[in-house]
Amino acid sequence: MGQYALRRLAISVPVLLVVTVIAFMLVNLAPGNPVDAMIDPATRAEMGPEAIEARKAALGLNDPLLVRYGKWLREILQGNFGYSAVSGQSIGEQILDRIGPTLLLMGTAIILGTLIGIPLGILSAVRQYSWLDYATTVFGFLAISTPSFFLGLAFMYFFAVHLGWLPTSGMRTLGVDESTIDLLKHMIMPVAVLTLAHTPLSMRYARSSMLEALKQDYVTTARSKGLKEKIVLVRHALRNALIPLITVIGVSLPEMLSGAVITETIFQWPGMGMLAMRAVNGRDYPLILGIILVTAALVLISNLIADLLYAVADPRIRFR
Amino acid sequence: MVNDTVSRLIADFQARKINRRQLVQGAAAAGVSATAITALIGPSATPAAAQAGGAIQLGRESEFAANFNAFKISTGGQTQVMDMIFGRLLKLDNTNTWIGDLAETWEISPDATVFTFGIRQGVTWHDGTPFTIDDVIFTYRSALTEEAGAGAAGKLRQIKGGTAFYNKETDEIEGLERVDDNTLRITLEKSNIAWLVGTAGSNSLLWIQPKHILGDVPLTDWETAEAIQKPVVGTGAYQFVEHVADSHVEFKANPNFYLGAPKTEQVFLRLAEPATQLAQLESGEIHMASRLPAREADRLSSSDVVEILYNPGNGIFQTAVHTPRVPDKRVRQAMMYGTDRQALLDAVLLGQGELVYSSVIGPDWAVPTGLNTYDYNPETAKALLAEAGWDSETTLQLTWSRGFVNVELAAPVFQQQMAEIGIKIELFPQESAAYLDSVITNPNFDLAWFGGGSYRLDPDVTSNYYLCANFTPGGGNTTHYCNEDLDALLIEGRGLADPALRAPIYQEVAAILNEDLPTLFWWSDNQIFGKNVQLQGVLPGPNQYIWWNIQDWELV
Repeated sequence: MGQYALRRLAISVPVLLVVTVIAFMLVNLAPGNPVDAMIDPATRAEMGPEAIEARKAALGLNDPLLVRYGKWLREILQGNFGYSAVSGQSIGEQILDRIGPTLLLMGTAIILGTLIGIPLGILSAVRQYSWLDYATTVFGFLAISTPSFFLGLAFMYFFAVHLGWLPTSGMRTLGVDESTIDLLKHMIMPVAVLTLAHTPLSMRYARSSMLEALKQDYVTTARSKGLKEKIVLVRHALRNALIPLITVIGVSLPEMLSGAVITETIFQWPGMGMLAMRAVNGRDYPLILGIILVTAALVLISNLIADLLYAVADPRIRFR
Repeated sequence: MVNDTVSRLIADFQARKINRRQLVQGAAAAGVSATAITALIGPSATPAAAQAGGAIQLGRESEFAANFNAFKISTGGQTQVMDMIFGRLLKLDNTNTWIGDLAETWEISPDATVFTFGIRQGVTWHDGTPFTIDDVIFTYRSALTEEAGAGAAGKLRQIKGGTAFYNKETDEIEGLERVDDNTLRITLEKSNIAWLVGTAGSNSLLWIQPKHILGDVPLTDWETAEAIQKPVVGTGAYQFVEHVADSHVEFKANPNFYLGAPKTEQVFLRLAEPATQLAQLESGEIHMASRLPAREADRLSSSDVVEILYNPGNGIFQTAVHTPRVPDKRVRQAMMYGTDRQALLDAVLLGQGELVYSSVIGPDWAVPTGLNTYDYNPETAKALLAEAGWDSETTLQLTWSRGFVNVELAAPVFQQQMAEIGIKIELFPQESAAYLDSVITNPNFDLAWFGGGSYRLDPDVTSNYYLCANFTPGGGNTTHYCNEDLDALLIEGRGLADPALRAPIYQEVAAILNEDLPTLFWWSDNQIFGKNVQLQGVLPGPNQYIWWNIQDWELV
């Protein structure tokens, strides 16, 4: 298995390289550039063309695309993500700063969503076509179809403006000392919105894979051996039903670090999602590429982890 | 009896048996107004504000970026940060009148060529170092280099010898003279009274930078320099404490500010989406939000926590016509006659704006009279089109930057009214970068709808947009309209310092633009601010930099 993991890691390198080429070309093909995006037209008229050209030249925007890609790649290979074209801040530092808040927000939401979703999904599979099954299905569809910006604003108006219970946004109350209680209060609404979006996902997967497992021969065998229904469900069906769920969790892992653009923006949560949003709006090429690269690496690693976990969960799977 | 009822309601409210809405409704039934109730119980639950020990919290929708490089400021959020920390030679008060900042006195020669500034004495930087004329000269010399990439470079090169210095042909700027320890004289190559006027990004009134801190930093390294990322040393009313990207900037009062210590110890400038800001304003978490949509302002005006301020704006909501595509002015006049502008203003902004008929809209002395107001008249419009031989099969494409809500509301109405007079309009909203590209960098459009600008500050602002020499992409003339008579008037007007002499010139300028209509002028929108009733000291006026006197703001 160790050898398999190493081989997969080795394949990841060319994959990442292709990702950078595509990302670099796409980002640069989009109209606009960091300098034009920064200057509003009224200011532009008064600045004069020389000043604008000077800024473009200083950022190297006038070089041919391939030259720029080469320069960027050379720095990346040395572990240097470079500096933002807009703010001049180190990109590595900016990304590191955002990982904490995003992990806190997304991690909590994904863990909660999984902890709520899986038992609900299993229950509704075991009691298929019961009122519980219908209720969770309806809830699942409602939760997954409600746009998060709408839910976020609705929560904000109800809990922050109307009732005054919770702060509208941010990570802490400005002007007072930081405290855990304060942080938790700020977390409630964004976590709730993201959990609501995540729960149906694990719930539906859990339901269908449990249903699948219940149809298997080994479940029938276990039942015909005279085992108690509880043991049949937990030991025979559930263990096997969890295997496909590894995929779902594996897919969620990169999300934990790449953040949720809309929810973070509405609730002003200073995470990776907001950073990405600002980078794209400002055409901050190096920052966009830095974020894409980190996200792509996370996806590859998560897929690898999920594949390896399959073998742990299901002894029938062998790597060659 | 009334008092009993109300006291019982208040007791219930304080015991949390009823909520605020029920209290206000109950009190209203007993004949006591919401205002009176507020006076009795204080404004709504303001958890953040109440705990903050009087810190002022201001909302902003655009990111400040980590970049506090005085030469490359481009957004309102950054401007606000810089204005709190740094001083300029002069600034504008709420009536858009110049007041001294780091210059205590100033004098402009009658031909608008020589600007003499008496530098304020006794000012210290936030680290205690005395501020001197050397800091001013250092700032101007630094900005006048290619390496600085300053937005104001175009303006600064108008200083005598400025271009030669910029091109590294000389080491001295002839027009930037240190007369004595407290007098600075700036002489321009050509007279230009509007040299002082500019938007944040191109303003010749630079934020004066500390020479003792930045003097040794090469200009190419400014962006990443510690003192630019964390501008803790300025001369302004407030001192920079920290910037948390995508969250806030924290400031503390500068006890040695030249006008005396600010009334409020701590200020936060917080970033939030417009919709979030509205919620924060209502919940009392922020004390001011700028650029409120008219409809939201209307809704909030009944709130007992929020006070709405409507100020005249400096910009113009307008549709530029790419004149090579629509060369006949009668067609452009027909478009104005064919649009019911007052109805449009009422629908889009609930009437919060003022119809304008040219780009000359202020200051007060320059406001033109007797212009054609193009009152809605589809028949006149049709007659003009017939006269011009307009082919009703021709389609004109109208573009704007997607997400500009006011245009998105107005454009379909405009399209329909144009159809009624026989002009086909195709709506073509574009993503902002694509819009900029087709309208400015590589002009290829028929009609472009936008807003903004600083027209009310000085009538010469018009010259940026209509001089023949200023065609896009080099300048700001998006319409590619060129009229030599207009050019001559604009050049004459900027060469005079006395408003009484300038006024008749701009009357003529306005008349030409009003007749030729390279741009369809709609209105100047009001700036709408929402402010917490506790926040006192704010002086509203046309100045969009409403924080110009922030040292006097306090929570009461």
